[in-house]
This record gives sequence, C-alpha cells and structure tokens, in this order.
Amino acid sequence: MSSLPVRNQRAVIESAAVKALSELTVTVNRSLGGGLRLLTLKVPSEDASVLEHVHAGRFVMLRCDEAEPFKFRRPFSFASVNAQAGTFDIYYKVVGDQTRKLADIAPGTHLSGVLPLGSGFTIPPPDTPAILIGGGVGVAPLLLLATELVAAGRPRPRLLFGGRTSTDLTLEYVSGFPVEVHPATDDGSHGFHGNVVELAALEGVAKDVYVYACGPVPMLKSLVEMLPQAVSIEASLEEVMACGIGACYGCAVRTDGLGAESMRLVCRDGPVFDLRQIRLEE
Amino acid sequence: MAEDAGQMRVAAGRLEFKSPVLLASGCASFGEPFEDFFKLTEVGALITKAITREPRAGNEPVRICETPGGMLNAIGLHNPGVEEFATELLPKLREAGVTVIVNVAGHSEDDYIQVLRRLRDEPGIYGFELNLSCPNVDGGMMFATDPVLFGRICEKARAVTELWLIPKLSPAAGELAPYAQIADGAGMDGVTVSNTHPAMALDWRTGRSRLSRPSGGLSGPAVKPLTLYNVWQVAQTVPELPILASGGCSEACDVIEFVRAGALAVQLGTILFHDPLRPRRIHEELPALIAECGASTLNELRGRIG
Repeated sequence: MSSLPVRNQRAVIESAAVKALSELTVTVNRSLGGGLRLLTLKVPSEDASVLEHVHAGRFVMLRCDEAEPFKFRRPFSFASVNAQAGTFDIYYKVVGDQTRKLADIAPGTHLSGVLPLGSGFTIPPPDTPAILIGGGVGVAPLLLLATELVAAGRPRPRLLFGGRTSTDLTLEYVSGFPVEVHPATDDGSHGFHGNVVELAALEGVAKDVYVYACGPVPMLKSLVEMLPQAVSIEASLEEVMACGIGACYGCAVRTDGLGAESMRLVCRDGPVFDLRQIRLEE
Repeated sequence: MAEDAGQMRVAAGRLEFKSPVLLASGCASFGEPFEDFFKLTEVGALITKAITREPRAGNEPVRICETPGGMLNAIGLHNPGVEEFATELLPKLREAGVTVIVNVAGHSEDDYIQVLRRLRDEPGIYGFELNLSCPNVDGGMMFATDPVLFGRICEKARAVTELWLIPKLSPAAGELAPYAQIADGAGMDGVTVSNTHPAMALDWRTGRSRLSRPSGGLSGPAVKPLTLYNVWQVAQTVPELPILASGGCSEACDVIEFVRAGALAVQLGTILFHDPLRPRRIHEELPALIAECGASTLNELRGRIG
C-alpha cells in the first residue's frame, strides 16, 4: 500500500484561489477528428492569476449551454495552460447533450466556469521514473502532467496511449507535448494491437516507477491488477458532479477506508487518488 | 450586503435573521465549499448537512442525476457524525461568527435526542432543524408522515433544548398544514417547508433507475410552485408560526414571492450548485426589488399577496 494520502493537500492549500468566472472567452473550438475537440478559453486579465493554480489533474466546471442554467456544469481536466496568453485548453469528446452544445460554441462566446478545482497529481521524487497511461479522452490531464514533469527537469515521460481505433489517438495534437508516445488501438489500426494495459504488461513497468493514469474504469481496474510492483498508481477519476466544490456530495467513490471515510468525494478529495485505495465500480 | 442592513433583517416569534437568505441543509456541506465565493457571515444562517449520532458513509454512487428544471439526489445522509462535527467542524464556524443551524437526522427518537444533547451546550449553535423527512434512507420518512410520531419527537426535542427547533416538513406527508399545527402546539420555533419531493428517473433502454436507489428526492426550480403553494397553505393555517421556505428558490424575485406567500426566510439549495455566487447576487438585487414592491423592508412584505 502506498503512503499517498487519500486527500491531496494541494487542493486544501490552494482552495483560496478558486474563482467563479462568468466571462471565459472561447478563442479556439476545433475538431481534432474522431469526435475529439480542442477548446481554448481566455481568462479575463484581472483574473489571470487563477491560472497560476492550474495543475495537472485539477479541473474546471464549465457551463456548456448558457440557455440551460439548471443543467449541471461539466467537469473538464486541464490539458494545457498558457499563463502568458492567459489561456487554458480543454481536450474533450462529444459524448452527450452538453458536450454537443459545447462543440457548437463559436469563438468569441463567453462561457462561465469555476476553477481550478480539486487536487493535482503529485510530482515523483527526482530520479524516479514516471509512466503515463491514458485511455481515449482521459489522456488530457496526462498531457499537462508531462509538461509539468519536463518543466521540473525530469525526462520526457513515456505515454502509453490507447484508443479503440486510430482516430481516438489524435496523434498530431498529442505530438505537441513532451511525451514519448507508445500508441495502442483495440482494432490494431495504429501501434500496438490491444489495449494499453496489455501494452504496459508487454513493455514491462519497472519496480520503482510512478504510474499516472486516466481513462475508463475497466482500464483503471486492470491497471491495479497488472501493476502490483509500481510504487504508486495515481489516477484522475471521473464522476457525475452537480457542483464540483464539495457541496452536493454527489460524486462519491468507495474507498478502502472505514465509516464515513469509506466514501470520498471525487471533486473535493480528488479527482486524483491513489488508485489502490479506491474500489472502482463499473 | 444591503447598505441598509435593517432592510434585509427578518424576524418573527423567536427567530431572527440579518438576511432572509439561508443556505439549505445538504447543499452547503459545513460552509467550506463557499468560503472562496462569499462570506458565510453575510447569509442569514448556514443550515448544516444532516448530522447523525454516528458517522455515515451515505449511499453508493450514482447519487445524483439531472432532470428537467432540477435534479434528483439520493446522497443518504453522508456525514462525519456528531462527535467530529462538534470537535472539528463547529469550532471553525463559531470562530468565523457564522449563524449555524444544525440539521439533525436519525432513525429513532433516541438518535435525535442524543445528538441534541451532545450539541445543545456547544456555543455557536443557534438552533436545530429536525430532518424528519429524509427520503433517501430506509425508514427515513416515518417521523414526517405520521402525525403522532411527528408530534412526539417535536415534544421530546423541546424538552431537551431551548435553542431554536425547526422541524423540516416533507411533501410526502401530503397536506402540510396539519403538521405545522402540531409543530406549533409542540412549541416549535418554526417549520421548514419543505424537503425534496420523492421522485424517480429511469433509463428508458434498460429500465434501471438513474440513481443507485430506485428513487430520490427532486429539488430545483421544478419544485418552486409546489413549495410556494405549501408555504402559502401553512401560512394561512398557522399564521403565527415562522416558515423557512425551501425548494426551488433561485433568484431574488423568488425570495420575495416566498415571503409574500408567508415565509419568514428562504433557503437556497440546488441553485448553490449551479452558481456559488448566487447568495451575494441575491443580496445585491433584493433592495431594489423590495423598493419596487413599495416596501422599505422585506419583513413588511410577508404574507402580502394580491
């Protein structure tokens, strides 16, 4: 069992930096193919300091359709942040009514968002190898993590990146990040023929490695079973949220804790958790 | 806050709030989610998440889902228990000067009494909202839908504490006025009208509930007309009993509607999830709306319907 606390202290320390901003300006909203899209949002200059607190694994709650104020905001991980330009990027997939609305939004439109929320990934100790394992759109926070690792003087991390088919991988977009991509597709259309967990098993994962993951629940469950030797497996989890700020208690996940501790809130106590302390339900 | 604080002050019976805007139980945790957005001392009161005798982990996910104009929840009283509340959470609220009303829940009369006894002498607590109507736990409805049990628990609670006692009525009881009469007779300081409405959401393909439980509680603007009716009906029947309206308030004008229907103050619930800045916005907008109604204070508008 890893010693990583279930609650990441970073979220607590930086909570004073959370803002609800009504005027995030859409500057880019373009297709990357395969239903995947890139959204760039510009923060008003007077609130630009909020970007200093954006870290890999943290998230923004975005209102996707201002005409439907009683739909929940949707949580999105940060894929990249540009403090100089005052912008951040969301890498998202059109999967439901709200992301469909989001896909239709033209540059120049204002969206409201609450950010930055939740805990981030922890950076491993120096000289400790890190490996990133992403499934589909779950690669988003890992791209920012790679950027942070390299900025912290670590080598470009290996990214095992899986999708059902080649268009899920948006390789051109991902090539803009400091990662050594090892692709895998279920249909064999690009890279390794199989899923990322099988690829991880094939390539081997060293004993002292820090694993960072984000993707579908079956992938995360398999990872825990396949990588008992990893020092730590941190994963960013996804759950339906009404508020994103720890008020509604809707986004619960079961942990191996006892009593009231046996349930944690993804928004407040995560979304990054030590995966071995979480009991994932499919 | 309004420049003239007196304009927003509301009072009736033993209840008094500096603002008519309260934070509803279960929608504001213990205040901490909103520290980044407004001062908790600006609102009339923070009504805490339900506190039970022992810690409770709550229900399995999925606990919430969107529905037209609202949402369903089946959280299941997830809370750290009375001891941790008293020693870890309450001191912070007390130091910050927040007006705290503790929502109390349980499965038996003894559960309620034990929580009240543990907390009654803790400084910083103004009163208790008796959560007699949690629709999302097994057996959670019995006190709210049985007039005899309802009256008895009110009387027993009254014998334990002189702090404010405010039972939260349930729409599942049907007509709420009789319960308000019983509450009044048992010396309650007010009633909350009301709780979430028992409701369902299904996946049409699989037939499965969209929550982990078969049903949940409906809240949000979808229930506002129902709350308004219940507030009005209770106010007509027991005019001297203060009412805290809870269910569907989202805008400053909603606050005035609920007060006109007879409420003393209004709880914000689901809207807090959509807009954490809303209490502040309502405070900013209310004074002009009160003036537009030809009144100088909100309290003057209570019960004034055309």
